[in-house]
This record gives sequence, C-alpha cells and structure tokens, in this order.
Amino acid sequence: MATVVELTSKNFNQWCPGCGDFGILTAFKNAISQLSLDPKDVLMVSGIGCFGKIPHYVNVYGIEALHGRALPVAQGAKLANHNLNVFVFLGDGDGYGIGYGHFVHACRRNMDMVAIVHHNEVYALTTGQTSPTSPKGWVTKSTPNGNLELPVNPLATAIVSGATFVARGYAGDIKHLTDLIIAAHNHKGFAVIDVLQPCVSFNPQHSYQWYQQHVYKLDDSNHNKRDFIEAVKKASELGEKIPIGIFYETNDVPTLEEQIPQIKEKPLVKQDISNVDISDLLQRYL
Amino acid sequence: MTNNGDNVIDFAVCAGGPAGTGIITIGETLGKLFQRMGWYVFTHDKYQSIIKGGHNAIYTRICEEQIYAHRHDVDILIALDKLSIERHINELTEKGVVIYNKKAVSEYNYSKTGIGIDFEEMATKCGNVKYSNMVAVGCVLALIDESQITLNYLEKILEQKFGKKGKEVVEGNMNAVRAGYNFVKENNIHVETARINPKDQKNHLFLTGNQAIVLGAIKAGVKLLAQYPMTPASSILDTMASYELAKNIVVRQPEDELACMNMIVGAGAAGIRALTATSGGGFSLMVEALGFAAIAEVPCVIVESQRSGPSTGMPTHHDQADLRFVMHASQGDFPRIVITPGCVSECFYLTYEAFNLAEKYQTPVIILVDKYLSSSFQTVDYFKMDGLKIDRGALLSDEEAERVTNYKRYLVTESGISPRIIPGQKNGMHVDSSYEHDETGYTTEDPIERDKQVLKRARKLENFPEEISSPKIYGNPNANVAVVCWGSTKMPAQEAIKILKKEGIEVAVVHYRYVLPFPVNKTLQILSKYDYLVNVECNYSSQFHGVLKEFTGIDIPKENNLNKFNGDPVHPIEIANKVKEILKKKSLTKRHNMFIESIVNK
Repeated sequence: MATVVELTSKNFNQWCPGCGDFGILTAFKNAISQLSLDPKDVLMVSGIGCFGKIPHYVNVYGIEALHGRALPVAQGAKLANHNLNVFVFLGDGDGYGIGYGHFVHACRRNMDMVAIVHHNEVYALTTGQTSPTSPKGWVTKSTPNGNLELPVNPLATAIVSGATFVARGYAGDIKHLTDLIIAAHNHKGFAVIDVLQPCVSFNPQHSYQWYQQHVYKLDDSNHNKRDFIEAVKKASELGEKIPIGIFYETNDVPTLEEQIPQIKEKPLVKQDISNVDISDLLQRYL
Repeated sequence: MTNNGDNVIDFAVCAGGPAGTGIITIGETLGKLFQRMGWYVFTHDKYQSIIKGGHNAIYTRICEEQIYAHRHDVDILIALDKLSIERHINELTEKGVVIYNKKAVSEYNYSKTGIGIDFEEMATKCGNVKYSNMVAVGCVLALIDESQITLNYLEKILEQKFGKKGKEVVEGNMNAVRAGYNFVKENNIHVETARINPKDQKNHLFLTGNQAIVLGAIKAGVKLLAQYPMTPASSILDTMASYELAKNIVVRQPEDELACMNMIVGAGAAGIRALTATSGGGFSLMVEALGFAAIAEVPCVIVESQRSGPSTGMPTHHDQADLRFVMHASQGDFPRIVITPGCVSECFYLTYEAFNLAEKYQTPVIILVDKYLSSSFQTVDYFKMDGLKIDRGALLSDEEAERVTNYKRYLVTESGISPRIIPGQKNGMHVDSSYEHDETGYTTEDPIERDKQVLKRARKLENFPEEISSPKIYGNPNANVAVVCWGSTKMPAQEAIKILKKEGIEVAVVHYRYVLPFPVNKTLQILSKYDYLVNVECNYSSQFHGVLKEFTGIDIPKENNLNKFNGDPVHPIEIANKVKEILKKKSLTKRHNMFIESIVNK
C-alpha cells in the first residue's frame, strides 16, 4: 500500500548517528510496506526515551505517550477501534522499569497488537544511567560503584505472563528483524519483540561488533517455539551466545477483542451515539 | 413519627448493625417502597471499611413533599446489635421508638420506647436467618401503616428483587416481613404513628449519584469505562458493567489507575467517548496522564468521588477536600473543566454535558463528587431527554476528512480549537504527543512555537460561557443572607432553607456546579447583593472560599465559614444554625472593592 519512501516522514531525525533505533525504524517501515498495510490504519504508540520519537518518523498515525505508559494507551486505542493495526514501541527502562506492571498485564490481556522493545541496556535520553536490563556490576553514571541488581528477564516474564508470541531481534540484522515484525503482526494476539540495540553514546560495552559476535539465530537451532517449557528455558539461557528469533508462539489463546461481543459487529468508534436510548435502564429506577 | 410543623409527614428510620447483615438493604427496601407509593425518599449510609462485623447504618428519610437531604435525627431506630443503640439513641426524636435485637440486648434500660424482638429466630422460622433484615422492615411498617397497604407494594418489590432466585426466596422474605409486622401489631405496641397513604403515581426515579453518573455517561454515548475499584466510586464500575452488553459499552478493570487513565486517553485519541472513575487516591495516580491528555488535547472525562483523606484516610466516609487537588493536579499550565454536581439529577445532566464539553474543548473534564452524593439514594424527577444533544465539537466526519489537505492536528485558531481527525480516517496522519509540539504535532522546543501552543490551549476556555458555569440560586434570591456552597452540600443547604423559613428567616443558597472555569462575572453579580455570606464545605481549610477569594476578591470572614471534616456530611440543621449565628453576630463579608469594580465595570 505504501513504499518505504512513502512511509518516511519529512520530520528531521534527532537520533545520534549510528543509533540502533535506525535499524528498528528501517525494519518497521519494511514490514509495513511488505505487509501492504494502509498507513491510515496503522497506529504507532510509543513511550518516552530516545526511541519514543519513532512515530514522528513514519507517515502513519502515532501517539507519543508517557514514559512507561504506552501499552495502556495502545490498549485504549485498540478497544476503540480494533480495525487499527497497533504497534507499540517501548524502551527497556520505559517498558521493563517504570512500565513493567503494564507489560505483565498486557501479556495476560492478549490484545492483538505488536510490542517492539528498544533494548539498549541503558537510560540514554537522560545521558547514561543504569537500566533494569543493565548487567550486574556495570558502571554507569548512576552506579559509579557498579550495578548491585540483577537484570530483569523480559522474555521469560512475557512467556509466563501469557504473551502468545515472544521473540528477540537485533537492530543490526534488519532483514531478520523485518521478518520478525511481519510474523508478529500476522500472529493473532499480543506479540512481544525484544530488540537488542547498541547505544553508540552510552553503552560502549555492547557495540555492533560485540553483538555481531554474540547473537545466533534460533532458526538455526532446533528450538521448538510451540513448547512452553522449552521456551522459558531458552529465554533463561545465560550463555556466551544470545539467541534471536521466535522463542514462543501459541495460537490457542483467544484475544481479548474476540471475547468482547460488544465489538463483534462494529468497532466502538463506528457505533452511533447520536441518540442512545436509556429508557429501558431508567425502568429499573422507577 | 414527627410531622414537621406544617402537617407535612416527614419521618426518618435508621437501621444499624454489623456489616454483612443486610443493613443497607433495609434502607434501600424502605426507600423503594415509599418511592413506589408516590412519596419522596432520601437515604444516606454510613459504613466502615469492613466486610463482616463492625458497624453499618443506613438512614432513610421519607416525606410526602420533596426533600433534598437527610435529617440529623430519626424517628425509628432498628438496632440489630447493642452498638447500634449506643451509637444512635441520641439521634432519636423525643417520641422515637427503638426496635432492638432481644438477643443482643439482655437488658433494655434506655430512655426511649423500645421493642425487643428476636430477628434471627423469626427469620429462621421463615426459612433463612438472612431474612432478619426483612423482619426489621416488617416492624417498621407496622409502626407506620395500620392498613397493611405497604405490604402489597412490598410484595411486588421483593418479587422484582429476588424473583431470579426463585419463588421460595421471595416468599421467605415476604413471610419475614409479615412476621415482623404481625409481631409489632400483636404485641399491641402503640406508637404515635403517621398515616401512610399511597399518593398519586409520579414520574419519579429513585437512584444514587453514582447510578445517575452511569446513566448520564451512557446517554452521552460513552463506549469505554476503564476503572480500578475504589470506594466510593466502585459502584460506577459495577453498575456500568451490568449494562455493558445491553448498551454495547466495553468495561475494563485494568491493573491500576495509571492504566485506566492512559487507556481512556488512548481511546479518546482513537475517537470514542471514554470514562474513568476513582477517588482521590486513584486520581493521584491518574495525574500524570491528565497532563498528557491536556497537552495532546485528547477529550476525556474523569469522575473523582471524594472520601476522607489524605492517603488511605477514612475510605468509606464523606469529605470535600480534593477540590484544590483536582483544580491544580499535574505539572504545567493547561485549561481544564471541573464540574461539581450538587444532587442526583445534576449527576445525570452534568455527566452528559461533561462529555460534550470534553470533545468541544478537547481537554480533560473532571466531575468531582463525593461519598455522600455517590451513595445516597434520592427521589428525583424522571430525566428529561428533550434538551440533550450530542456535540462532538471539531471532530471531522469521514467525508469532511476526505476533503482535507495539509492537515495540522494542532492548527492555531482564534478559538484555540483545532479540527480533529482520528486514526483510520484519511488525510489526518499526525502524532498526538505528550511533548510540546508545533501545529503538525512534531516535537518542538522553539520558544515561538511554544508560545503559540500554550496560548492556543489557554484560549479554548478563556471565553467559556458563564451561562453554563453560573452558580444557581435556591431559596429567596432577595434575602440579605446567602449560603455559598459547591457540590453535594447543596442538598443539606436546600433543606436548611426550609428549616429557616419555618422560623421566619429568608435565605438564599448560591450553589456552584462549576468551579473551573470559574464564573467570575456571574459570581460578582450574584454575591454582591447579599449583606451576609455563609460558606459551607466539608473540609478544614475552606478550599472553595480560597478559590472564590482568589477569583473575585470576596473575602468571607473565618467565622462565617462552616467546615466539617469528621466523615459525616453536613446536616441541614447545622447550616441553619450557622446562618442564625451569623445574622445575630452581623458578621459582614469583606469585599476588595477595587478588584470587584475593575471586573464588574468591564
């Protein structure tokens, strides 16, 4: 429906040159184009962080919401109009720190949308503090003596919380990430893609070069994404190598929207409200 | 039984007992019964944040003429335990009667007439100990109705209430009522009774403020309610949920109030009318997204039902101390509308209006109610639908959107209001942003663009019509004393008018249904007429008076302020007494004249 060029907005991009966000942006536009989605029916909802500017760079509808709160905003929009193709953009601090509560509940809610998490292990927009995903011992501006806490495990959390599609991508492999976004969109239910991305300004430890050497594709192993326990184990793998690809997918769980008869015929936004009759309800109060 | 001096029958029943014994049902059942008979009813409940045990009470006031509030005293006290006698015996009128639980009170040695009855035994005989509350209802009816006519009405009500549970339950409840009725009659207990007759059938409704809010929202086309349970707002969630299938409304109970508020912002941005409701504590969590809605110019409606704070406070008790909070909550400057309905009817009409205003001005609208209004049942006129018209403001239709070129979501206009296109429509692609933005929605930190957008947003409410926000006057507008109040305090204030009238004192009540935008000119026109002003509100620091003073320079002396914050609503008699005190003291209100003249002469 739209080419990548048509999807590219004229807004000036404010990310640092070389930022991992560019890879995610490119993969997203590729996916929308390849999926032939009508741009007017695409809604991007982002939280706050460097990544949060992403809706401004794509010619679709967007909501740049609050830090950590993109998921409930996206859920409200999806309930209002479930014909929209909703893509939520989170950061690792945004989605796994301040917004982790919403993340867990979004998983069990299983609404048909895709959540893409920009995971760079650092708070970059505030110039380099620790994140809930920062490895233990890391020295950052806010942890000059080393991070004392363990990182969260978002993929295992997503799987055990009820997400029905859980994947990890890498911002440096745009083709692979494009395919993941397409698969996530085609999946019916809540799809999470945790995307590893370098932060060229504040995360010198994990550069493109480092990731290049450490990621491997699940497709190249014999991982069974339909097996819940195997998926949790795989998501908990803490080896030298980092798997990317689809960890878990199930089609056995109905989406929230499918279980709401009120929107079976038409989305809420298309329902006529010009003269709602409440006389039947008033009868009860006579 | 009292009649209030001019032969109007007006009596009140208090039923008290531990939580979990169906106390509230006693009041609701009596209320519904007399409502059906064409009488006017007002109930007001008092309960603890406990599911079983503790002390619950419900006051039911019944009158043959229109009433607006509870009374401070009662004529009949139903006491299911000893504590209820101790708590409420002093509220009994001189000739009042206590019907107490014989099992719980071994020795009755109180000054008022008392009838002991074993509620539980009698209920058990009728099939279930749970019917105790219906035995109590029967006792009350025996005291006020010789003809048994009330029993006929009650039978129908119980059929409607318990019909789903089967014939046995209906009959069991009704037998319990009869048992209580006959016991009081057979024991030949003579009480000075009032005659209860069915009146002409009236086109009245009997409901609570929260129920009226739900109906107003449904009438206004609400499509999503996202609410986290919190007393005293929870019944909005429960009531709306019970109608969700019938009215095609989606009701969600998300993980917290942060999610609720963000959800309705997302829903509003996607083009539907969405609502959330909470109390002060939940509103605290919503504040973050309130500012988001304001800067992104997303219409949304929030009900905040106040309870005693701060913090967890007294969760089931009445207070009006969140006014300043909702007026100022959130970082940054932005326009908002704060509506303070004064009675059950206004809950309906103003909730309806709130949705229109939210869309017209593309800004958050807060409906500020409180425990007293949220949970009190009131007899009101059947809601009039004629004047109600949906106004979706500058939201473009699909056809209009199709003709748009070069769309700018935050177009700077004279009114400050920009045309809205929503996702899914053609030609409107933009970002609704929590950042400051230029006309297109793109993030900006440019001082000129910033000025434009702050001023554009401010302009939206600068000329808000005062015909909408003007305070309403009750009582005698030409009196020399006026009671100033906002929100639910209107109800006892209207009763105070009646009390004072009987003593030959004329008074006006000036009630604010809107606090933001504050109706400055109307206030000056109205309040400048009175020699004496009495400000009544249920908080310690006279929050509304502060607002009044700030906007108009009208400075009501401290001694003219009636503040109550003990968890109970203000009683009509307290307002009447305050008015008398001020008239006696001749405590005048200060007016900062220069300030007033500059506005009045404008």
